[in-house]
Amino acid sequence: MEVSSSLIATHAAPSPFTKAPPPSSSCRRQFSVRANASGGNRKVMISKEKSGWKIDFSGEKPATPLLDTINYPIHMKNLSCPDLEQLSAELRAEIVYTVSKTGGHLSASLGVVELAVALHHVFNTPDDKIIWDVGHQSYPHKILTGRRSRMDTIRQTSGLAGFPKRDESIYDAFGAGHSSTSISAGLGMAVARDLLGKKNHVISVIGDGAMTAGQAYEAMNNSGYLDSNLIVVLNDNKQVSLPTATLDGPAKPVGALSKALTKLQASTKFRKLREAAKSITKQIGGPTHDVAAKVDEYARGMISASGSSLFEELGLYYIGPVDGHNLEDLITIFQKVKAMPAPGPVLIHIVTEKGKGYPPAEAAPDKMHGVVKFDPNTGKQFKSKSPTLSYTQYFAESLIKEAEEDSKIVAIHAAMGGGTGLNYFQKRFPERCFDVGIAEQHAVTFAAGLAAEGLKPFCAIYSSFLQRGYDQVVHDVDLQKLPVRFALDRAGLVGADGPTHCGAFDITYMACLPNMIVMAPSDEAELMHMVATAAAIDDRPCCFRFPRGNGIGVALPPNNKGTPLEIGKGRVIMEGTRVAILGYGSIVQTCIKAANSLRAHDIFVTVADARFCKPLDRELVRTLAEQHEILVTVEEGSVGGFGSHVSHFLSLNGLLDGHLKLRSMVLPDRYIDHGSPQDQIEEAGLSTRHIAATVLSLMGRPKEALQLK
Amino acid sequence: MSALRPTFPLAAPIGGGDGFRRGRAGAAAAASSASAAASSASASAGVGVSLYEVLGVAEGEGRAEEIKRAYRRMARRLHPDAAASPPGRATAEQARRFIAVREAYDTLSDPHRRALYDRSLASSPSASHQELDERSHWRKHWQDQIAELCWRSIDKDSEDNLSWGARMRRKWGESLN
Repeated sequence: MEVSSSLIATHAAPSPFTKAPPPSSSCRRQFSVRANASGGNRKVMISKEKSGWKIDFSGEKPATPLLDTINYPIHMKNLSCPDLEQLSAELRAEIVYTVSKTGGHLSASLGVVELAVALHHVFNTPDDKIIWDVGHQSYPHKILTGRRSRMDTIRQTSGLAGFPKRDESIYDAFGAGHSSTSISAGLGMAVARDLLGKKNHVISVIGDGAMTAGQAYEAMNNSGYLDSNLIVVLNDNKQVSLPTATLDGPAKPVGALSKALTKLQASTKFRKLREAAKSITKQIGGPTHDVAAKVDEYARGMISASGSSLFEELGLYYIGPVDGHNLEDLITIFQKVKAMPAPGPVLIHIVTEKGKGYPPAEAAPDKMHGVVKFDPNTGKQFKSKSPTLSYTQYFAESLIKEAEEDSKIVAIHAAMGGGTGLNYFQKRFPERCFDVGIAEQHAVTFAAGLAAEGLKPFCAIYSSFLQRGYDQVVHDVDLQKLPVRFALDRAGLVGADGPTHCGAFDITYMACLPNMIVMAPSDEAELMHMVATAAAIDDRPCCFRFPRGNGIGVALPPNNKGTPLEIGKGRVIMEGTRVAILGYGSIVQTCIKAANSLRAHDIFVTVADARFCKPLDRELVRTLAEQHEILVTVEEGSVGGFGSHVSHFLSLNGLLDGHLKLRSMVLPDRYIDHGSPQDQIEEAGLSTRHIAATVLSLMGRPKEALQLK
Repeated sequence: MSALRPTFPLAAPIGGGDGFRRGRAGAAAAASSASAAASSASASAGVGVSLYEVLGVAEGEGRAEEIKRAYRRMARRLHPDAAASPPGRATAEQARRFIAVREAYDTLSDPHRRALYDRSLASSPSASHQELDERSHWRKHWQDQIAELCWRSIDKDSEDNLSWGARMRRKWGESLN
């Protein structure tokens, strides 16, 4: 079994499916013998069969002899097509086994293995630039560009980032995390290349989901106009929403674009006519090619399915659809386009399957898009059991309860049904849940339109993603004082996803708006009450933020139905003297822990939960300022947020003119790298120890501050 | 007349039925919507059914008059306002068939679109019914597209192309000489 001829790459076979010739004495064969000899009786786990390469996931990580020889893309240049197919199979195995140990994004990477191999084989990175949209599918790219040995650190503190990052490698041409930016960035790089007189190629890889965002069209429109050489690869796996499934099964595509793309793939009848027309024009050839090209353009516009004209109307030359898992096809196309002197902007539409090559991912309804550690053999994830649910789930539960009593409540999200918990809402109220695709700007104004007509829209958008729709929040919602409710999930530090997904700025950018009510719950019960409060606020917009993670385990209101809070009123959690800590949001729990740890130092602090940043509980803040010597505000947000509002209020009311020592603890003025949540909080200086140390320092006991554990 | 083209309302809830949401396309090119209509009409009527069978006429033979008469006959039977079938029951099925008939008529009554459809039927009798061997057609398709792009690429930077990209390419091309 060890020395099986099926392990040997066939030499320049015209098709990967022909029978392997008898093994010749190539050095590659000896290489594979060596690899197996060291393993003794170890089973061959990546083998070539008639229908393609098969990977056996039932044991340990298989040997990857070919991948072992690739450290950088330059090592791939001399591989033949069958070799590259073997490499793809080994790369798939590598990805599955690596992600099974670290967690991360699995199936998106599996879907683009052939694409990554083809791109690096044909093009010359890092001079040629490959820009991956969103970037969660860049694992094969990272493995092939010198980071294979560090893949076991991905998404961990001080390890590889889960997305492309310019600081990390010269092969990462542009940082990504939010979607739909690759064509814009690619065009910028192409134009820069033209202005500088360079000759490299620029390739932007974008998915069909990311294509639903307006920025992709803005970029394509501009590309068509400028006519600079640019290759756009549209990776179409029919997954336009994340995590690619509702509770009941795969999410249906959300818009007309998906329909158009499907048509593109499916059109047969009239293509036949066009092929007939083409063969005629080909025969004409030669100097009449101008005329022939025009005829074909006309014929194509008239006869072909509607989708290709969409891209061509924008000025991109459309090629496709192409089987995105056929290496030979991909390499042929890339080589041909690369060789052309002046193709202008070209869009290559490839069709792939998310999770391809790993049966558990192919079968899963969410395609195993984002996973924690799992067992490679079965695909079963090792989800840790938690006594409490995530804040997202508490939010979804309480929103459902509100919507049961008030039929005007509707929910909107931007392609994040799973991440925002609104898949549960959608299951309960299918007619009242709207997934607009990756289109935050549209989501906000759409909600504004709903509110203008008397409905009660809840926009559930991640804190960092709402940045995209910020002008709409200001201009369409706040300026007109329309009662749109924003549920800002993933507020604060988010752990492994890193700074691209970090919700650091929402307190700042929401609380500076004149009409917006800004609140934050300190635990899951408070969250439920704030959902009820938001439902009750009907004369102006409001928002509430909650973090990634699970609840702390407080008693929930009966039947998960919250009661509206009094607007602009916080609460005191524990009474003390001399020192007050005023927390905003879930960090209040950390403040409580800090207060408890200070007892050992004979310090009894007052801890208060502000609940509202806007309108501020002036009574509470004034009382705290007047009755304590030291006031520390704490929030998991950037400068300019809650602490700023408190200090502004205090200064305007003369409360800073006297005895008070005020300190604001905020996220530092730099981006915190990805890592575990505990490491990030430490890095940010907002842990229990830091808060207690701040108090001790202010009380003139700095030595004890330094000695805190 | 404009063809019926299936559309998705852009912000429709997922899971909402889309079976009968067919609206009129505004300014769609006649032929491209013909393809849409043809495939959707066949799809509504069921896989394996040609538009002629939907209308109940002999394939390729019927003159315009016959097509029209056949349509009127079917429409009378299937029209939602026609009281032939018991009210309430099987009206969904009836509506679906009526839409298929309508779309078939749209294609076959327009001589240009009908000619295109006939040619497609002639070239591959089974292709109109089989979406399965798509991928084998794809390769031929993109090979043609690449060939065309090659021509265009040679032609693209001729003197009369004033796009920004063309000007930049010419500039650097000249400086190398």
